[in-house]
Amino acid sequence: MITINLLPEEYRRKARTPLKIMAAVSGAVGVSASLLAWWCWLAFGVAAEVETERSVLQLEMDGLTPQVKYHDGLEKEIAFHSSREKTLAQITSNRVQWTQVLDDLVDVVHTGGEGVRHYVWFDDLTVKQEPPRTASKAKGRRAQSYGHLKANGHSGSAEWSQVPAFLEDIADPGLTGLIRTFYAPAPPEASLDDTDEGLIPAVNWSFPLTLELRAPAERSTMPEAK
Amino acid sequence: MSQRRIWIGLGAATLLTVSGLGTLIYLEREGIQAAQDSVVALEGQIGVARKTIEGTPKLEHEVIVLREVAAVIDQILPNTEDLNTLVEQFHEYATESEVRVTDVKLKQDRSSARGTKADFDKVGYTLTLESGAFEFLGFLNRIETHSRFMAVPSFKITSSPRQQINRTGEARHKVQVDVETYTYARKSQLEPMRIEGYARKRDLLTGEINRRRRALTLTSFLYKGDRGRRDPWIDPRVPAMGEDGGPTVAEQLEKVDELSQLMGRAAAHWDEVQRAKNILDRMIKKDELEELLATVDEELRRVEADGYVSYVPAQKRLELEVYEPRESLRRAMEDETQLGPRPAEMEQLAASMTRHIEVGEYELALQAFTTMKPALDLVAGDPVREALADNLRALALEAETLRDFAAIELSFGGSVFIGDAPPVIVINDRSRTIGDEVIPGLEIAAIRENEVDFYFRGFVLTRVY
Repeated sequence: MITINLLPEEYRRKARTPLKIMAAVSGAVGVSASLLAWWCWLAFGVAAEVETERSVLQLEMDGLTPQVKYHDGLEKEIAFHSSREKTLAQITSNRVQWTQVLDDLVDVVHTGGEGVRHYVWFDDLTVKQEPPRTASKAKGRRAQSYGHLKANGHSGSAEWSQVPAFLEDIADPGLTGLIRTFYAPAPPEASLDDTDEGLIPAVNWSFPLTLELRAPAERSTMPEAK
Repeated sequence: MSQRRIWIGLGAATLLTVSGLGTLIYLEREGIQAAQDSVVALEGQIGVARKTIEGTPKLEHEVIVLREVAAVIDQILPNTEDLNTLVEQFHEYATESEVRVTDVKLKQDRSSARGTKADFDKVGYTLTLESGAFEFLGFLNRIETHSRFMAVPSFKITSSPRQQINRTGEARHKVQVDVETYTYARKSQLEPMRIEGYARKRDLLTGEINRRRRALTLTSFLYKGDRGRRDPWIDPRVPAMGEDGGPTVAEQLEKVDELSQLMGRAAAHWDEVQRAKNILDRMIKKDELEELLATVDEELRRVEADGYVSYVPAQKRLELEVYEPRESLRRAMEDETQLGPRPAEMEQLAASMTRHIEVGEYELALQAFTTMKPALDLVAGDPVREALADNLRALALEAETLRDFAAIELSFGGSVFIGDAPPVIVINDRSRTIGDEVIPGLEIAAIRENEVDFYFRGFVLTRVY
């Protein structure tokens, strides 16, 4: 249906926004205003506060960064220098002073009193030191071997008991430091050589001397000889 | 505009506004969340950084110590391989220790010390030598005590054959020795950090630096030579019938017995010297001991020149029973001479000189003093013996003065004593009174009946007439 208002302009009732629309607009404005207020609170309150805190912390971090870099630089320098020190410690720990070992062996031969306790000489001497890695990777008996000293010896006496006497002296810590470097000698074995009446002493016994090296750590912890 | 349109427009505008604001809020919250995450992360980083830099002073100390000990490490594990120098060093050591090197070979195994990426390379040499056992020990010791790290992982000695020793007179054992060292070749470079107050911090760490330097120094063994020991790689047996017409073993042992007995007598004589009752007795016994030792020396010279003792046990006995005791005795005698006379001897001499002086035997007193006079200078620094030496010198001066005073010939004539007037006496045909000089240095000090006192060399001496 079409409604026509025929009243003159001045008599017509003023056109008004309908109450419903008014309420709806007010509601929409209210909601928008609330959202705007919330955004403002977030943007100018919370966010600013967090940003300020972050700025302070960043400033602090900027101050600490050179110190951390300095620390890292020192660590690198330590690694740079200490590798040689560590390597040196590693290779020296495995070293045996063979001059001392041979000097001790000569001493033991000498203390035999040229036949009083024993009278020993050697045909040869073989020394072989094995690196720890070989020893640890090896299997069976070799797993415990760090090297050895072997010699073919002679005892210039008819008394074959002088052979064990010599081996006892080698293992005597009160007499020599050999036992710090080696385990006790292998049990005595000896065989009588041909008698030569043209020589003094005419009789001599051949015997093998076998000494197994102790582990480096064990060598360094053994007490000193008296 | 129709209401419907208004409602549509209103709805659309509201939706648009709410959506826009909602988006803004959402984005803002996201931003805040990100900022908060950043804050948390920064706090974590700051915590870690603070914890990290807490250990900086310790690291600084460690770096300073390492920089200071680097010089020692450089010496032990040099940067350069420098194998020419190493081989030259072997040559020098061989010459010094009288070892003959017959072969020098570079070992091919050049594995790294600590895996394939390590900065250290192993360098090995195999040397073949000819030498006696003690010469080889000297060579080995030089290698093992070299400032650069060197190790001997293996070696083999094969003794010199008996025939070769008989032919050349010296043992030339065959020795094959492996020598290895490490070279340092760092694959990267590093700019050292600048440490504030380095010098001051280093000074504070001097103790630690020295301790670490000492710990790095390689342990070494001081090899003192053969020290009278025999070479265990020489067959010590000797021919039963003597070598090349030389003395038999029995004759050698007999000679050693003879010399040993002589040394026994010398030792007994030394005991007697020590127990001597007086200085003269001691001197006589000491002279006899010197004669005995001269005989021993003479015999030993013959034994050495002729190579009389070749049987090793006999040589050993000669060393133990003759050479060593002779050396000890000589040393003891020298020590005693250097130490000067003992207090008891000095007291004894003083008593003896006093007795001589008391009975007018001035010359004998001086003779007794002469025996000890040269040794008196050796007691300097010993207050007790210095006092005794001063006393002996005073007694000698007294004896010398008395002897010279007694030697002055004085003839006494008459004397006159009148009241308080100075007494007058005729000496050497001239009348003299107190204060007159009879001869230069001899002045009258007092005149009494039957005796006259004289001033002579600071003493007041009396002559009876």
